[in-house]
Amino acid sequence: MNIERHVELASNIGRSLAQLGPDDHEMAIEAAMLAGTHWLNAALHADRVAGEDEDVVHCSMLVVNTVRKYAVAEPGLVGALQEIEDLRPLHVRGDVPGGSAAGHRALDLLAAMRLRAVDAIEAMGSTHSADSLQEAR
Amino acid sequence: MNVAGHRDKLDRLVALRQHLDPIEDFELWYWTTLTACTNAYNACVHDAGLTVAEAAFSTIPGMYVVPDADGSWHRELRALGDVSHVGWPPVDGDKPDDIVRLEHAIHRIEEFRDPCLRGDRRPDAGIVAECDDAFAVVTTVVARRLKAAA
Repeated sequence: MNIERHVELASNIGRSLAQLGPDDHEMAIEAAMLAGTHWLNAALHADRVAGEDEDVVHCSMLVVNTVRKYAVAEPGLVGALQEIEDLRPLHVRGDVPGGSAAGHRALDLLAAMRLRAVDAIEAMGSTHSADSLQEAR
Repeated sequence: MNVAGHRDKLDRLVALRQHLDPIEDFELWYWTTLTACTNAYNACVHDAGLTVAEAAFSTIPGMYVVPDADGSWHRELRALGDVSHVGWPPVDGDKPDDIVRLEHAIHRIEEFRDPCLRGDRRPDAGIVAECDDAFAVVTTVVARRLKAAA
């Protein structure tokens, strides 16, 4: 998928976060996972490390060497997505205490991912996403 | 997770779903719908005795995250408990008719996951109506089954 569409979907999800309430930690984590994955893909495409036909769905689904490669290119993004992924079984598919804090943590990680991805896209000299990138930032 | 845990999540996700606009917030509306469906399904197949309800949380098929008493957790290979998505992994066994209807309804919703959330397909009124219609089947099945079990 191209960078424009990744930015569009991640930004849509980001705007919808305003609808979440304090008891909605499952969707905060899931939103971070979905949007964060789009930001990672956008950055990897901008870095020319992964083509538009090589989208990441989950870090946990990648072969080990591919994770290593992406982590060299975008260590912060890969690390953040892995941390968000680790929150899912406990707090989305499970019900251990601490869900609210986990939801906040996921959104903090997402915010950092968004900023890093926007930097990567801007660094490639993209102009066609300027408006959407400005909004994302 | 046990049936009560799934039911609690289902109820909260149904409430959240009402606050989201199906078009403006499509991605989150859709994912809330799908997550509610998965909780409904796990509750129903536990209730039907097809899978085990326990404090072990699904990841990829066959591997679960298990909380430890000290607040930490570990990954463990286990027999089938919760599924992460309907059909992933599949639940075997002699399924009652309502479970078959439930699976079919959730698969109708799952069809839009990759095209709309990881592809170029745009949400429209037709997609929303199809998801709403299938979700009505899901909530009806789970309400009847869990009411009967109560």
